Amino acid sequence: MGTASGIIKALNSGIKHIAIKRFTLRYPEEKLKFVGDGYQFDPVSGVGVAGLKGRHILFHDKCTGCQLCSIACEGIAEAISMVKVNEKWKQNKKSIMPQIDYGKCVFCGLCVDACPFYALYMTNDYELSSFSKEGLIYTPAQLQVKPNIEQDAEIKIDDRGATHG
Amino acid sequence: MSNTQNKSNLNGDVHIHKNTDSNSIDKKEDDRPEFETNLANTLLHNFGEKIKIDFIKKNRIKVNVQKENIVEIAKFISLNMKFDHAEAVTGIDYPEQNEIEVVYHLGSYEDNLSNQILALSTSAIREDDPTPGSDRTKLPSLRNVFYSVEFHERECFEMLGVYFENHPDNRRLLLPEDWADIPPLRKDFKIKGR
Amino acid sequence: MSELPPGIKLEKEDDKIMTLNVGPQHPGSGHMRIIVKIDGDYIVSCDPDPGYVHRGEEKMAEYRNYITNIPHLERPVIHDSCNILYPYCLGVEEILGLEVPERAKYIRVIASELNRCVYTLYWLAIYGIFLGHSTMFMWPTGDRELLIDLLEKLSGARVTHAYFIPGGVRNDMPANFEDVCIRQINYFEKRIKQYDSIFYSNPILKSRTIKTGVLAQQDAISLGATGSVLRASGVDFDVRKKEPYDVYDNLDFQSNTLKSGDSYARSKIPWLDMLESCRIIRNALEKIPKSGSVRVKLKPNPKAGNVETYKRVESGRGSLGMYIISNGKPEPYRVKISVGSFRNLICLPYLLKGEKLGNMPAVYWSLNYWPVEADR
Ligand code: SF4
Ligand code: SF4
Repeated sequence: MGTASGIIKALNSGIKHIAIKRFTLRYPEEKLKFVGDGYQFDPVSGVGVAGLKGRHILFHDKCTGCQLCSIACEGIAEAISMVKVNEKWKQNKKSIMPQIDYGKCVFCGLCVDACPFYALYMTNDYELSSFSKEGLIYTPAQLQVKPNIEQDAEIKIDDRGATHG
Repeated sequence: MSNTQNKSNLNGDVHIHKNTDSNSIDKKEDDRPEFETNLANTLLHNFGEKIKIDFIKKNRIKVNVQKENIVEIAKFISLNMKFDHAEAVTGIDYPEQNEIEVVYHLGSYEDNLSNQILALSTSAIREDDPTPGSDRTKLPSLRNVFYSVEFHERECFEMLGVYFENHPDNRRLLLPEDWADIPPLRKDFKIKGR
Repeated sequence: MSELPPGIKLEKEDDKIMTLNVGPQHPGSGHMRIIVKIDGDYIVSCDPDPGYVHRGEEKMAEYRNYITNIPHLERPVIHDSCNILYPYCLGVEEILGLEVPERAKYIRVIASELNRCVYTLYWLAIYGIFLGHSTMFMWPTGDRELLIDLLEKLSGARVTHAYFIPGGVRNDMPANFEDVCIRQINYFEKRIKQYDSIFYSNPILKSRTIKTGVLAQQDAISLGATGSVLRASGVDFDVRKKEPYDVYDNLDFQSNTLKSGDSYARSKIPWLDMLESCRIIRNALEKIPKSGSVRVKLKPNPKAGNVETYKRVESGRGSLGMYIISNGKPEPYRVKISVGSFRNLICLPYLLKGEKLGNMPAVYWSLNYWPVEADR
């Protein structure tokens, strides 16, 4: 192919893009929708449930303080430490629950795989930034909170290209 | 061929696939793939006592040789058996046996051999306080047989302190210039906090 | 074996020759230093100096058990994290004697092909900007989003998926993933076909890459090149074809080879591979068993016997091998990662010798080199 026709072909392909819709996701206003409520794990079948690996959620009524999540994380990021809580649960005699340092966590979800009591899942919440390192340490009380998020943008594809609608 | 036997006697759990009692290939094991067995037999036929077959699995052969013979055997493998490049050069530290094993994983781009990996292993004496190049942790370099091992051997040199004789360029590769500790992949180099 | 030029050597040491440090923080080299000696505009010799992002992955792997090794072993190449975990999982499955369910094998193939495209697009974007082609930086970065979205639906993370696990995959595909995947892959294929007109048949790119850094077939073989570098030099070697792992022998695809061995061919092979990946994904989605388990149950601290294994797969940068030695403990005794980037690096001094300095980025990045992976 000659030089001129090559350049014309390239220009042509670029010009076609004027008619194509914008693909950019305008992030803080629009947020991507994820499947499900975050990554979960079923210890009976040994298989996870697809979902975003975001911030964890801890169910205080199920956690037994068995420390298996903390042991699993020891070889990964050492993000989980067990702390005392001022709550009385009959399944949790020692009253200890995991506290997660998101400055260290890599969001692998292997602690969720390790928990045998359906007490630790992950959620769709990924906006965890903080001004201090202490602010990234989530206590069991903070981990209990169900995140309140609105995520509805999805990739839509039509004749004029893909958009985040 | 005392090296391998020592290794399996002292620490029998290192290679259970090691065929310690006999050099010939045991015909009783039916699951041995034929093509790989033939390849190994070619080596045995030409070098006899000098090589020791560690295991033969599907697409994988491992042979163990003395370091005095490795260049000769590597030349044979490259010229007559058409293994033309090295995929990896791995150093493994065995402090109890006082040796460092170096495994060359040789592959081939020939059509009929392209799924085969021949692991050629040899071992060097392990010095406790290595000053690379001046101690006895030395092996002959295979750089003149397989060009592709050049960087792999440099990496093995800095990570385990094995000096490759006749290597044209035995310098550090990945580690910083001011690294002053023992070679980091030796077992006595401990990671802090673990 | 053919005769090669005698390594990296200066022709004549005089004041005409200048030493130039490219990197390690230069956008034209990645996290790596290339020490080039130039005579006027021509490169006399070149000495690559990797290691600026060496993290000791192999040492770290000796301290962690087979499961907790997963998140950190994917760190060397986070854009291709499924493919770097693939040989590790295959190896651990062999030494633990695990049988992977059929459905999991197909999901793995889909995830690793998606991941190969994600990596290639990132690499292509940087190749575009190295050559001053800003459009080629924008388009792949945008189109990559389609695939990252799919991988995120599948695995729950955008880049570091930690999705493969010895014995299968972490979770099943979400509901109606097949439809979304087919739709986005079809659109994606349409998009990357346009790269041909704007990039690959662009006369400016052609004049900068054709006949620069030519690697002859014999040299590619004896230097042990792999992946796109090897296939651009006319050697038909693709681990997926030659030593099929999981279900690649059931799938319908071809491996791409080009003859010329120059930077142009080396940059085109990954693009052809992406088109092939789209075919593989569609084919795998057709053949995947509709239901079934995706993971075998594993004890939390599995112990292997005294065995060793060497497994390899075809990653975005060529054959990627893992050599795992186990000695009966929960931790592996030694893990060696043999990566395509590191193996291809040795070609650089040979390719750059006698080349113009201005062609250095075109040749260097066409090697499909990922500094972080090479350093491990
Ligand atoms: S997600 Fe991974 S890194 Fe984070 S707390 Fe759980 S195990 Fe640790
Ligand atoms: S979250 Fe689960 S694994 Fe962790 S202490 Fe509670 S019950 Fe045990």
